[in-house]
Amino acid sequence: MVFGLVLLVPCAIGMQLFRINFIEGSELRQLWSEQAIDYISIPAQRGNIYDEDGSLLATNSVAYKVAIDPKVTGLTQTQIRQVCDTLGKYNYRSSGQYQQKIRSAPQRSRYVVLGKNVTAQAYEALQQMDIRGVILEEEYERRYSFGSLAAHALGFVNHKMNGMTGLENQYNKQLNGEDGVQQVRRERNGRIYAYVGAPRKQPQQGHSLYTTIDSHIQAIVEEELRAGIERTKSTYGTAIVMNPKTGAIKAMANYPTYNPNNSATLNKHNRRNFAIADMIEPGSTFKLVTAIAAVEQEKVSFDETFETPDDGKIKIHGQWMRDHDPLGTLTFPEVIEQSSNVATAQIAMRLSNDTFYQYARNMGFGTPTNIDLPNEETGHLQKPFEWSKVSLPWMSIGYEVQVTPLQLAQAYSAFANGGTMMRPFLVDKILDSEDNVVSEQEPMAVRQIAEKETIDKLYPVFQRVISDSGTAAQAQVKGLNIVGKTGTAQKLINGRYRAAYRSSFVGFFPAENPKYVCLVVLDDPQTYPPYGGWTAGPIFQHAAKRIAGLDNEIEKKIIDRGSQEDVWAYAPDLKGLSLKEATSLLQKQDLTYNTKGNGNWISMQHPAPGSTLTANDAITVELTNEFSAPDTTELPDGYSIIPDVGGMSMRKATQIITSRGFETKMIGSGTVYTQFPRPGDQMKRGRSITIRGKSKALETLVSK
Amino acid sequence: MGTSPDEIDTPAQGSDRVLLVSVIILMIFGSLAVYSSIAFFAESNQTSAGSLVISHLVKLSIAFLGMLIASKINYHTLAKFSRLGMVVSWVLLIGVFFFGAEVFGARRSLSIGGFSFQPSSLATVALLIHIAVLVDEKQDYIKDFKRAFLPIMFWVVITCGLIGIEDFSSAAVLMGLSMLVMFVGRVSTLQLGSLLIIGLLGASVLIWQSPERQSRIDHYIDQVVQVKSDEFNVAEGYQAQQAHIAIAQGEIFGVGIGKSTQRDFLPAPYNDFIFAIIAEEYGFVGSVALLLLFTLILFRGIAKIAKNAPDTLGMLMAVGCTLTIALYGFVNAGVASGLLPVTGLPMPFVSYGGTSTLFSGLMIGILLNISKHSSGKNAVFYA
Repeated sequence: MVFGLVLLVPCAIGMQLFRINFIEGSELRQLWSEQAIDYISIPAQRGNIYDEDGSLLATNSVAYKVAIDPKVTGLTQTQIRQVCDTLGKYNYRSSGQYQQKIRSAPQRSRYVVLGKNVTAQAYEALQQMDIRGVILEEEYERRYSFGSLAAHALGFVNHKMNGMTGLENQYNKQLNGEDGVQQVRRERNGRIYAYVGAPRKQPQQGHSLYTTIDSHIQAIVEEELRAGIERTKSTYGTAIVMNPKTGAIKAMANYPTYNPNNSATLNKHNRRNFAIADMIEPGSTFKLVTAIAAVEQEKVSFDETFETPDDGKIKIHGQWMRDHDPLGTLTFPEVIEQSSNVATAQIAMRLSNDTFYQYARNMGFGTPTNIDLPNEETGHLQKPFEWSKVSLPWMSIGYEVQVTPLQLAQAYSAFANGGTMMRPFLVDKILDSEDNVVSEQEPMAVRQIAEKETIDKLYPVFQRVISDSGTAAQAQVKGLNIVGKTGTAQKLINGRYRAAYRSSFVGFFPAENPKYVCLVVLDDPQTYPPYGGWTAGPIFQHAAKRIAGLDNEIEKKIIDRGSQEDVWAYAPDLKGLSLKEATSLLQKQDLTYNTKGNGNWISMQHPAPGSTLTANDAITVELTNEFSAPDTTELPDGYSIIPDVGGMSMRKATQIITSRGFETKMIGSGTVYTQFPRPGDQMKRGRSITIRGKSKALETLVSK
Repeated sequence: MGTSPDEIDTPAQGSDRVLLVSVIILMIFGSLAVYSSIAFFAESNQTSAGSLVISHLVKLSIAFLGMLIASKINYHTLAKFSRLGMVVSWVLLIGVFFFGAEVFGARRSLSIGGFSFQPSSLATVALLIHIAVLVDEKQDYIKDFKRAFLPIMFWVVITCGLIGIEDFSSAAVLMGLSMLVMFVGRVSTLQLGSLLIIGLLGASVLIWQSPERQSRIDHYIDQVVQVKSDEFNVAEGYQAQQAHIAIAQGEIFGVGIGKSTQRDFLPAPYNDFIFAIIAEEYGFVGSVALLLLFTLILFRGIAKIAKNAPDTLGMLMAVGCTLTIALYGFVNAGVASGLLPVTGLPMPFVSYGGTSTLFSGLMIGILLNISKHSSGKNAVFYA
């Protein structure tokens, strides 16, 4: 009986087992997958951004982070010392410093960060040691190869690697790709682990952008813009270089700028891309609209003369309009050349409001350019029914209208392109991680702004602006035909025009076959006179000269036209060279020199590197016996300072570049006239520096 | 003291092979399941699963050795020391209160010479043998309340009381076992029945008085017996539900040796919930096989060894030992499958743990010894 009774127990258990397994089984197994199965994402690599030549502008770098949980059971003091020794061996901190970090951590801390960016060797060594309590993490960071170069066009990403501005934001989806997923097992304490045969979905790596940016031109424009802003003490400025035939943006620069690598420097004002986000009254550059409309509508003939009053001002419907100086009697080309407001307004008033509006509209004002960048402003072009009686004359000289610098550049590009206006764009093509083309940007014509005849007739007129008698005499480059226009607009502050200006210059070259449109806008230059020709003009000139130097075709024409006496050079950087090296360099360039003092090494030179030299100038070098190596104390491991090899022979430049641990990429031969990246910057050893050579006796343009 | 002929065991026939083989199979089952499920415990104790399994195998060997030695000792000889065993058990049980090591908030074990020792296991064996001795002694007046029931209950109540202070479930099982042996030994059914009814009434009063106990019963019914499968149980019923999930994961043939995942979610998977781990790894087939092994031990112990025992003492000792092994096995399985409230009782020869394995071995040894003495002249078999 007892036996029978007890026997009931296993029968009951058996039935319960049956019930759990077969009746409630599927729901319970569902619960199991909820608690024991988890998914972790496999992050996709964000795509790179390249310039026109395929130089890497933005990429990802991995940062190895090492932390320790000193309270984990089973972690001995010996092991902690081993970890610190390993870190000390491969990093610039000593083992003792790492141990100090652990000691000085809060008593109960279970996550002591030892290094946020340790070397790969240390990371791998620790991985192999496999000590409990050592936490190894890989963190991906966005790296912008050339720091602030093209910062506004590229934009930057937040800590989640999402683009916040610029191309990073515009193409965020394509760059990001799609994260993959892996199924993992989860333990009760939340710890997850991978297991063999776990289902996984591979991440779709981000696509890469190949932009139209030319790093060389970008660097030139940034340097010149900065130099110009510092010289004119402007508050800020922007510059755009565009290919008028395609609409491709070659460079887009703003100053002040920021370094997207270092989020600490992100200042809201500096981050603003004024080229597309600033709405300005353009001033005289807008006279292009008046000129095109009047010439095409045959409201003006080239030999017609315009009288301007002796005091240089007229009253239009009760409002005074004045010229910068009394200009007397002017022909139509002289009106443009001298930028007469009074005469331009008179010409404009021969047009109907609607006609003028239509031309302005056709030239892209009041509509966004639809460049592939976020946050583009539309500008403001009032419709004729909103106009007052004085609107037409004032608009004809660039007031009562708001435009973005990019719209202005686009309009002049259309002018440069025989009247065909192209949509500006920055991304040429998008490639996937296997280098298959995902999409390619074909140049897109927006519309024809005017008859080609009209445009052709006006080239010589606007070319006169960049002549000794024009308002942009300072923008001239000998041997290079430039078409363009200056602009100086008074700033409207709190509803009144003040003695503060926006000065601009926009031009394109060569006039025979325009390849580059370049616009420079400065805000509130402090030097006198603040005119566009005096402030923005020289920036254009410096930039144009150097851009032309990059373009073999254009440079050849300059040389053909230029005369021998104009040949001049910049002083090469001789500091730190041996006397022998320096003399051979100077002799090769046909430069005369004097020495001062005794010794084998150059300690000082006069004039300073980069100064202009005429054929009669001699360089004086001071000698010393002590070799002074460049200051490298502040350099991070594996980095060197980029040497200035401007003016050196290609062979010598290669030697010096190699001695600093870099690779050399040579284009052309002879002496170095430009290099990229800029000298003086830090760069990781093993990366390459591009140097371009020209045979001596040609104009030597030193990247300085 | 010279050796009396009584102390030399002279078996009439070989020991029970089926019982021996069943125990060995249980040990193999257990070793595999312990190896699979002890990794987490090993990690938190800063040792490896391998070394813990070796220690488990050592304990099994000691238990096996103890079983062989016990099978060589005549059970009559053992019975003579039953009163001494009781006294030693009590002393040790009291010692636990003062010197015991605290595990999960309860003092259950003593550390003797580096070994952890649970006096309740010794007390269980000692009490059951002592009851057998007393019942055998008092067979002539066994229905007498004062002369039989009360003296026997004296030992039972004190022992269960001492155990129950720290380990209620062990005490309850021991109480049940004692009453079963007394019932088999012809102690008055009326007296035993009254005691049972009084006990149940007392329990009802205790439950009725405390809302907390009531809610625990409710939880037990709702989440344990009912098998809750639509959502997760949080505090109450967590363990039972995790065990259910383990059993359900096993389906028919199990997930495979060493592939349990529920070992991470179950508390003490190498001990209290080892049956759930076996059900997960070996499936419905494996877990039923395990139940059948215990049923086989029960069958051999009662229907063969106890039935063929040469005298009443042997019969009662065989019943006590068999029931202990089988009931512990069933209670562990019952807890894992959600039929019983969660207790911390080990599964004999399967769970990780020294003392219980050793005394389970000793009990099998006693059974084997009794089986050797079985003869034609059977004792009166009441079971």
